Amino acid sequence: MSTQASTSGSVNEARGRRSAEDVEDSKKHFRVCRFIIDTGVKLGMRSVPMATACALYHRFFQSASLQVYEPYLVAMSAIYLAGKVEEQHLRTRDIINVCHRYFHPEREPLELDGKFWELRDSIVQCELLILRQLNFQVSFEHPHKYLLQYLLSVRSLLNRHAWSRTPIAETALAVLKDSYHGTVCVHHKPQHLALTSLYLALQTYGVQLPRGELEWWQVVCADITKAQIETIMSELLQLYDMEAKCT
Amino acid sequence: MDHDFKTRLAAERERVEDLFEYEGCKVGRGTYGHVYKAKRKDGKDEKEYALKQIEGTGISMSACREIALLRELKHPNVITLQKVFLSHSDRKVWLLFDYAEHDLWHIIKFHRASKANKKPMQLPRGMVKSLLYQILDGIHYLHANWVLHRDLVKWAVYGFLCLCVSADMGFARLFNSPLKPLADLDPVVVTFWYRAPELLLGARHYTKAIDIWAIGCIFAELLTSEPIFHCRQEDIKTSNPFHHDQLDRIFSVMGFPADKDWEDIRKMPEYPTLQKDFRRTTYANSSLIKYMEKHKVKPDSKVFLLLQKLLTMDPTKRITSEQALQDPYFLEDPLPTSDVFAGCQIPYPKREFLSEDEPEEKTEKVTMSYRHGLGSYKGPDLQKFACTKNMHTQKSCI
Repeated sequence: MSTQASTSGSVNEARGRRSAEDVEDSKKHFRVCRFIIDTGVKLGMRSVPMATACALYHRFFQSASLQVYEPYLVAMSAIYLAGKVEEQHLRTRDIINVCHRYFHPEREPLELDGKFWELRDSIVQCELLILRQLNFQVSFEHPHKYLLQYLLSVRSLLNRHAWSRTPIAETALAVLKDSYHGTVCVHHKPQHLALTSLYLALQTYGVQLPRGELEWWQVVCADITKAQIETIMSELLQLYDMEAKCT
Repeated sequence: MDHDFKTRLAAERERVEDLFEYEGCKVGRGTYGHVYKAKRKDGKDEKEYALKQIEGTGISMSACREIALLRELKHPNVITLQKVFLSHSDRKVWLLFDYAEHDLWHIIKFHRASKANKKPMQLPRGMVKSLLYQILDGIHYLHANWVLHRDLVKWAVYGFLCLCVSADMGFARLFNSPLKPLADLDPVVVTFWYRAPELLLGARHYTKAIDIWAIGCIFAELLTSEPIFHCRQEDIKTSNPFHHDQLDRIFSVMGFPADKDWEDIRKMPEYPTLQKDFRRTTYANSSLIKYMEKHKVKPDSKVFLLLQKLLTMDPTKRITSEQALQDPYFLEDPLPTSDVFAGCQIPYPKREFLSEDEPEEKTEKVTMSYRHGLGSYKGPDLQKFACTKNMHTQKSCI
């Protein structure tokens, strides 16, 4: 009896430890993605290449361990690779300088010495590693284009004043971009992610849409269910909780 | 990542030189890199492979996108990427494909040359049908998927001109490096000969209909052994889409389009120039029927009817690849076969190996001027081009 209790106790303990580790990992990934996005902005990356960089990062760590690979190096290589995938070329020199400033805001840029070249070499080697790990499947379909379509449809359902009073488009896009802080961006269909971002934005401002035989979201995206929307929405909201814990 | 881990990984990694024998078997060279004909060293299979070593080191933007695209394509008439080799030490990238002994350019040029040398050799009609069916099938796959991938647009537009036929299977496969700028391809591929009339009149966007026109041109050429809209051209690099001589050639074969046949022609950006430079009456006696009759293709045959649907002037009325695949032509005997060479001898020469220090591309470019006039030029050089020197064939192919 007692042995049984103790085994189940240790299982629970192990489970607890694992979920505690998971939380720590998610926090780490959150911070690294914030790093990707911050440096991406400074490098003048457009939204889609930035989204690709985050997606590459998340995909990589879906099958690789944080204990083995240095996440910030993977992030830098993901930025570099995303530039190629999305045809917005970025120079390694610029990436290194911007990242260096991120970690050491008070220091001068790195000299072009041995250390610089080592770092550069690590980035390009790690780029090859990411390509291998992802089996060269590096082009993603992002939700951005779907969000644009959905926004156009929803705007036509609202009157002009209701639309201009509330920043729905801005909020939905912001939610969408924020989703790249976590793995939610690689776990769901781009259409579903776009729709849920819009759904969340509309809820936030309490905007009611006319309802016919179908809900508005059934009209714009045929294959999503209410339950799916709710799952994605809760994953998105968890990310905002995470933000409070991480910063 | 620690050093030991890295060395361990490097030791486990399969290296191209350990797995494949390719030394001295170079079959193509260009700005994209080098192509070798290769065989497995371990003898697991006796198949021939094509190994492409990408020029330069590391993953370039175009290499990255090309591999990503190839990873997603899966169709019997579109080339499949078998494997990628990445060497971390010298950062060279190798791509492994199935080997194709012949390609469409190869075949077309062979027949052009035989005709120019007064020893015309017709393509067997069954082979033409099988080739056309496979081109259409491959292009249909690309057309159906290109909404998902913007690189596919570039791929599809000229991909079928670089079609490969592997000798063992006789399968035709679409093949092209999707990201090469058009000017980087074989200049013959970029000629105006295969350009749809709407492009010559200033249409700015590639559409599926543009590919269909080009397939129509190829089809006609397979039937007659000469380029249907052959036209002399000097200024290939011109940025102006309007090309007087090329349009003149199209109208001399097809006749000038009647207003009711192509209503939107008036909306084309170059329509005013067209009105200024051309007169309908000049082409009153031309028609595709007459042109093909000269080449012994009867106007009531199924071959002709399909050709006519592919070579429709108005892009909105042109047949789609899906409709074309359903055409009665393909239901009539002989039925298309999956081996395009089924039941016939292959007269085309095999690819030759290049020496490691063959002259650069540049010297080849000089001789290009001959090749533009291929249809009309009848000298001994032609034979040489068509049969022994197939560098460009391979260039566009792999």
